[in-house]
Amino acid sequence: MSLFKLSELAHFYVAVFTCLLLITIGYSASIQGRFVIDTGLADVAPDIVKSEHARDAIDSLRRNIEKRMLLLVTGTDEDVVFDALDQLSGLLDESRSVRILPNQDEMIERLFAELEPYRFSLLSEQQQETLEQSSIETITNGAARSIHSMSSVRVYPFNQDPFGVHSSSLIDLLQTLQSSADNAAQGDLTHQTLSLQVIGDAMSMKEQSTLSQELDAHIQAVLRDHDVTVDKSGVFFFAAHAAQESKQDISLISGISTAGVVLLLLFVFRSVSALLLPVLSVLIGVGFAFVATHAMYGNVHVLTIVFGASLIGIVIDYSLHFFYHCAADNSSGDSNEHNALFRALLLSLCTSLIGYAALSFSGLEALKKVAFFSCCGLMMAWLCVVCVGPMVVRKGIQSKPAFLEAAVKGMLSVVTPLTQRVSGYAVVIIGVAAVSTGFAFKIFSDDPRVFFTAPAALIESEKKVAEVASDYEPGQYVLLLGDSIDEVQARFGEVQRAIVTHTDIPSTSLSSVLSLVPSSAQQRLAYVSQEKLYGRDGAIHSLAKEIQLDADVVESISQQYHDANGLSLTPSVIQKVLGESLPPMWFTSKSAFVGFVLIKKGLDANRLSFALAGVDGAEYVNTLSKTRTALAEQRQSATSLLLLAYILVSVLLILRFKTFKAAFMVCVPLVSSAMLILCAMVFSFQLNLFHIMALFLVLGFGMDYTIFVREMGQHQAKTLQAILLSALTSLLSFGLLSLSNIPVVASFGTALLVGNSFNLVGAFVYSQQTVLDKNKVIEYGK
Amino acid sequence: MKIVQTARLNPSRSDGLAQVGRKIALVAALGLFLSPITHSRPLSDQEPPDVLDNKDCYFIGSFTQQKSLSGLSTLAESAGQFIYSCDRGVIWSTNTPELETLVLKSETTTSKAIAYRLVDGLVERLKSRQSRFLTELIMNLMSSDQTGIASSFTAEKNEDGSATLVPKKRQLKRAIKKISFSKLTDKQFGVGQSGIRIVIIDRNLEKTVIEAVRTPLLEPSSLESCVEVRVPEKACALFFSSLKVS
Repeated sequence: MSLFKLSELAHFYVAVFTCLLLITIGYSASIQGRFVIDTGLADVAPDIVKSEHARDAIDSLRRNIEKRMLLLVTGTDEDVVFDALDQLSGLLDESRSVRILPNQDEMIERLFAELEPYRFSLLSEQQQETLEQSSIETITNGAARSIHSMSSVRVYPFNQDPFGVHSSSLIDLLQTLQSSADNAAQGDLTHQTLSLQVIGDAMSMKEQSTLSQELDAHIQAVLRDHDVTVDKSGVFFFAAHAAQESKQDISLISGISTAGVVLLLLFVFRSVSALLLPVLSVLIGVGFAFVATHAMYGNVHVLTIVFGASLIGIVIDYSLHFFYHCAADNSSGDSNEHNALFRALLLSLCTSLIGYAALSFSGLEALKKVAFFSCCGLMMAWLCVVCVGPMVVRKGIQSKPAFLEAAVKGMLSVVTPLTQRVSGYAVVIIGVAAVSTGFAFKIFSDDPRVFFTAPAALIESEKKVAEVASDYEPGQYVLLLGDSIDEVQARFGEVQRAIVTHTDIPSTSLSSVLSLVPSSAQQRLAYVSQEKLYGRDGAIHSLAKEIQLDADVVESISQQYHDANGLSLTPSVIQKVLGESLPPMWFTSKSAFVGFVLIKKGLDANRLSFALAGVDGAEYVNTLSKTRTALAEQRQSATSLLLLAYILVSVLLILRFKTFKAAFMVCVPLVSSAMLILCAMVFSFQLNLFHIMALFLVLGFGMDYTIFVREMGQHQAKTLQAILLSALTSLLSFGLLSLSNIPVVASFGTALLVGNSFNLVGAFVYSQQTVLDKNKVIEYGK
Repeated sequence: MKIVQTARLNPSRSDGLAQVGRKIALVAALGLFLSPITHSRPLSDQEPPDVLDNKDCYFIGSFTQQKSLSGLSTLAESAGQFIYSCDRGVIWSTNTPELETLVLKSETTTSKAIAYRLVDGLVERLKSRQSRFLTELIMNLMSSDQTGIASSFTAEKNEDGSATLVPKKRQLKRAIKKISFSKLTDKQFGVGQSGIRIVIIDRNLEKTVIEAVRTPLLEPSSLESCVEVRVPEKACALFFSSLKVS
């Protein structure tokens, strides 16, 4: 049994195809069509830290941040602003999609209440020192006098804090939570913020659509009733916008490319039945890919679907070659041609799979999903063509228009004068020119903005909210890692010392949940020190005599002190107390602890980075800068993987055709890729990671064309017509991708538009060279 | 010595709720300048009570304070003096049994207000945002700016003629639940004197009652007159700018 004889494996392929089809239908039925379409930007952003624990912590924080949003109400009249806020809160309070988060006041009150049992373990350094140096008598007299003071505030009632110590230590501790950008009047304007949390999946397109409409309706109602402005801030709004754009892109690309391809096929074959196989293979291929990706990852990223739409261009190729080489000569029953076609189809599938599979080596989750989606789609569409194709072509489908034949002849007449030597020189010159351009000119860009271009209004709104409601640099933080809480705390101390030593930045410019938690040793010391206050011979007893404090108060507080022995405040407790109010700035796993430290606005990033360079376990993360670096690394890595893919395909070709010369077939996509670099220089656009990723597909397409030229060489005219038609369909779909509003998609489309155009030219040149080769063989034979 | 130890055990804060705590004292102080509440008009946010109808530019007075604290079977009592000058500010000095003085000064050049706290001869300038907010609030009250008080409090008039101020702003809300003002009618006053009772309910629902009697001055108060009413000399020097504190 040969792998390259369709007839011998037909039943096997039909069985596999049927099984996969049934599984697809079964899975879709099992989840009742409730597919999750993900729109998060995390998948398309590269990892910016190397530690697994840090990545988990960042992921956890990201997931939380994705759900948070902030609405800023601004107006000139404070009462109007409060009224507008009340109306907005009232409307959103009834929402099932979003919940209102406690404001800063509520958070502080919650901390006062929940930290009460821990108050015996909390003392500031100054309090600690004073307590150690003071006699019982001094403490007693001081406390007796302080009850008259007008300048002291008691967080806790007198009977819970008769010395006023706990109020002071709590106030001292919670100062870090006091935001200088507190909602307040600034100039003539009054600002109030409303923090919200999305209840469902904030990155789900369905949720986004519902919630966006609901929010817009509520905001419009508030704007109608009050003279205020409402600004929005949050990842949600950017993701929702990106999703909306992607949705439009999907509709546009899928709609126009499908319509274009359908019209082209109808025009070429003049038969509705000619649409059956391409449409069926596209639907089944893309459908299976969607279901398989969903089953594998639990959702399908919107970018995967956009790229997946490009599958149409490739999947249709199989049908077209089938029509040209099977259907046209169906009556003749040329089994050799059928087998040659099948060999070409299989080899074409293999090279495309290699091209797409190489994408899975990318560090970007989205591209891995694209690789999986595309490989599944291609394989299923291929199976559909080889299984369903023979049934479809029984009706006899023939290419009618003369323009394809004329176009092929015209193109051949252009490339006929090219000798092998000339073609060889052209390949070398283009290759050298591309490499030189790559090194000599700045044609590569690793700007993270390639992921998404937000509308100016959304960015302005985000900036305005950040200016009013945030003290911290967006996208910048210090990451602290350690094996224990104490180790992370010690590193936080080192970070604070380092920035004080190496910069003029005050240590208070850093904010962390760790600022609220003294080390376990300090807490123990604080507890022990308070023996002087609440112990058997503590000041509480002499104070009771001095000011006639109730005996049950003395007994109660002494008991509370005794019960608090061993109770230690940890960042996890703070995190738990604040719950959803605070993003998870503290992350605990089985073997590691990770803390995030926020950086006050206006700090010099370079100096901070320099100061922290020597601190073990601390990493300064500037998301923008790290993403740029990571993208550059990914681009270089992708280029290496592309070269690897070329090598693998060359090896496959050598093995298939049993001659080293077969490796030269890769020159077609190689030159097409080189032409992209030259086009970038000539037309002044910069290449990014996604252009490089698209070159994997250029390789796949180029190999498709050259394989069919070689395998189906004895039917050159038909083969070249099929290639021309397939190139037209591909260019139609990929050309549209280049018009996308999403920079990533547009980059992908542009690379494929340029690359595949030159692939087509290369296929004709290669076709001419194979003719010359045969002539040589004939001459030598003579 | 004892005072210093107390101050260190309960160190003063440059920011945070401690500042809000001082507001209790300062808001109490400002209550002394409020006229007895006798009007019958309904009160609203836009129309605060006519409690700021202060026509006197200079006056001095004395006060007594009673605090009821949870767990304490007796009231904590104290007393002291105060001075008001429309062009300088306010001194609020507690001298029995403890010595603590608050000085609020208006900077004529910058039209900003500055707050100081004196304990045991040590002067501390209160620089926080909340202190600034508070001193601005008091200066608004001193200058009879009803819009100022309406922005910080919701005013309610009670049936007995007293008025209650409920904080609107979060900084005040954290420390004070409400403040009630009523005219002192059960005391004998001298010529031109008037009295007021202020009841402050704080966040822990602990109550402070202040009763104060004020005497208008015909002429601007001086450093000498300040010292005469048993206000610490350092506070007076600070008030009359003969002492500079950075």
